[in-house]
Amino acid sequence: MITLTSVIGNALGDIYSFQMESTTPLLHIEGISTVFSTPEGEVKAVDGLNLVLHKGETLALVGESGSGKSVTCLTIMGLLPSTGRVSEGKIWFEGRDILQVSAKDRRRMCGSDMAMVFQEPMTSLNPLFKVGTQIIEFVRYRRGMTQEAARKRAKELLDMVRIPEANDRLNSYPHELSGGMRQRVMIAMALAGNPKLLIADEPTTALDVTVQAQILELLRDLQKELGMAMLFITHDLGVVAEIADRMCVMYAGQEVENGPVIDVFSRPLMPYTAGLIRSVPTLTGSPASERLYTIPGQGPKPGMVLNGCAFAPRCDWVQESCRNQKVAMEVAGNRSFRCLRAKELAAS
Amino acid sequence: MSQGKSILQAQNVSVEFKAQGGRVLKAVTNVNLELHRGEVLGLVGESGSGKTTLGRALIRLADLSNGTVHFDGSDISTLRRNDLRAFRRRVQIVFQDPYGSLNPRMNVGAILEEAITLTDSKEAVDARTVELLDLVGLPTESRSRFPHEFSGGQRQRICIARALAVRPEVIIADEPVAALDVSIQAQIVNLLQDLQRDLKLTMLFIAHDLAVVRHISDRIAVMYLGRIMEVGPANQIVFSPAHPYTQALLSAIPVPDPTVKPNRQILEGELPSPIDPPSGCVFRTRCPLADAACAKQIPLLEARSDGRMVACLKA
Repeated sequence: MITLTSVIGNALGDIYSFQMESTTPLLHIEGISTVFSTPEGEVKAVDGLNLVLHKGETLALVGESGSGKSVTCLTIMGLLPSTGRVSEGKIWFEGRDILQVSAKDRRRMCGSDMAMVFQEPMTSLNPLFKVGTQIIEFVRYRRGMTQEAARKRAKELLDMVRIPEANDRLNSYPHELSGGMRQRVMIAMALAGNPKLLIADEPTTALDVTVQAQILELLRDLQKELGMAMLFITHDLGVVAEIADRMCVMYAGQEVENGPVIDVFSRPLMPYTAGLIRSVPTLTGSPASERLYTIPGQGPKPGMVLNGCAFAPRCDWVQESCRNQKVAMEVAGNRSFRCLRAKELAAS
Repeated sequence: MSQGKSILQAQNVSVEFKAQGGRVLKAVTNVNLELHRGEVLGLVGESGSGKTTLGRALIRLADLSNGTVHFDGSDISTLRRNDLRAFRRRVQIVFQDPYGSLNPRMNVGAILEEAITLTDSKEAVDARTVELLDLVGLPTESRSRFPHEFSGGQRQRICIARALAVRPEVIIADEPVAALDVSIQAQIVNLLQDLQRDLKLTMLFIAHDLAVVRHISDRIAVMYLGRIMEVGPANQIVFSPAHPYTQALLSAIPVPDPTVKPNRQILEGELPSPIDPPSGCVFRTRCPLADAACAKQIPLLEARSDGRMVACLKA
């Protein structure tokens, strides 16, 4: 197998991973809102989101269905459907405002500066074409290689994602591969342009747990070797604990808590985060005789206009002021949170 | 959690499907499993392990190619007419997808009425509807609303209410929380646990999430490629797994605690095709302990001195 360093040509990875904090962030999202037009009017899917991602870092975006995490990815990638648009805010990539660049330049950024892996690998691959054809087409389009060079590159990419017998697999159709293998092919395609940022939207959710373990290990290793930053979208707190440096919890389109994974797990500063962590059954956790902790009720419907904190109707810590005033994100050191009672929560 | 004698019993059960080219897909092979009265038995396995097919075979929703299933002493394949109807009332199933299992054109009241009138009189429908909705934690007003007006968790509550309408003794819950968000999943797990205890139900809880299964189950059975690899008390399976597959499955589960660095044993490869399963032990192609003997001999599920049953030549 060819080593990654020879594939990339140099060992930029080492340089990347030690550059956190000091320089301009790789990705800086500033007050982004994304709205969708629906028959009932405009619905805000992402509401004033702020995110900073440094080179080589992994940030997990955590939330339940409808929290806006997938829309955030599509917004960054410039892949919003025609009904969606960014209504406010800025997205900086390496100091450049990418919402202002031309459509052509934006397309060029997709794949080379940033690439995305989706949840369902079967629907992301064209069932009518061989895997090799699809990778080769992509590589040639990106890098203007000859057919022969592109085929060699495609094989290298499959080696990189540890697909055995890569030459044979290039001639396989997507349906001939297992779910895990298909996801490896998608990762290989995402890596084809040497992206600086890999956005992975629930990449292991559709996979079995033993295959998930393989893919997580692969992503971790690739990230280390290539020095990519990763924005990892998941609803699984186990996966967060395993793969991310920092996490951002989203609720109803807003970020509600952001901080290093270790700190957020040990001392959440927002009752929603605390509730999520407590409601996950663990193998070694509370005995079966105990009830699971539950967050009562359910999340707000998209488009619902709320006066106060979006989580107030479900919150154990709610007080009158939570219901009638907008709660802003508060920053304390390397943590930020959206809660009026964070101090009391932390002390509890 | 008082456990009585066996209520549902699978003996040497196999289920096969015809695949393309006249080949045979062995979904379930020679399974022996007992469901004791009053217990929750968790059935875990990855996709393609045959856990759903086994669940369906136990209630005669899948035809057996071999073996027998006994319910309360009688062979369910021989049940006809009234006996079959009675069996169907006593054993109910809750499916994974609450969206696909409710008729979108019927309101909740009508959905429940259909089930209630199987066991109760028309006059009782009203009171029973209120009782069932209350049992699953839905407001009485829900009866006049349609499935699309509810969230996933609420729809699963409706499905559970419908299953309970005929006063079953056994519930087969097939991945009942897999499609739900974490915060909703905990609500439904608690609900099932309360109902099981209060109504003294027997439950087969089929899921791929071992943490959820361990939480709710008294015993756990682990399936791989159509066969049972290990069965035993839930804590024994989780804290001291004997079968190498159970061990690998447990070690693959991400731990929601960043301070724990799991000592992971990553399995090579993926589930082989059930059309052409490996000879001998079906797990041997991915097993760290496998040797030549494992390719020749199919390990039987045998009782161990510590009360569990394991199908492995090496462990």
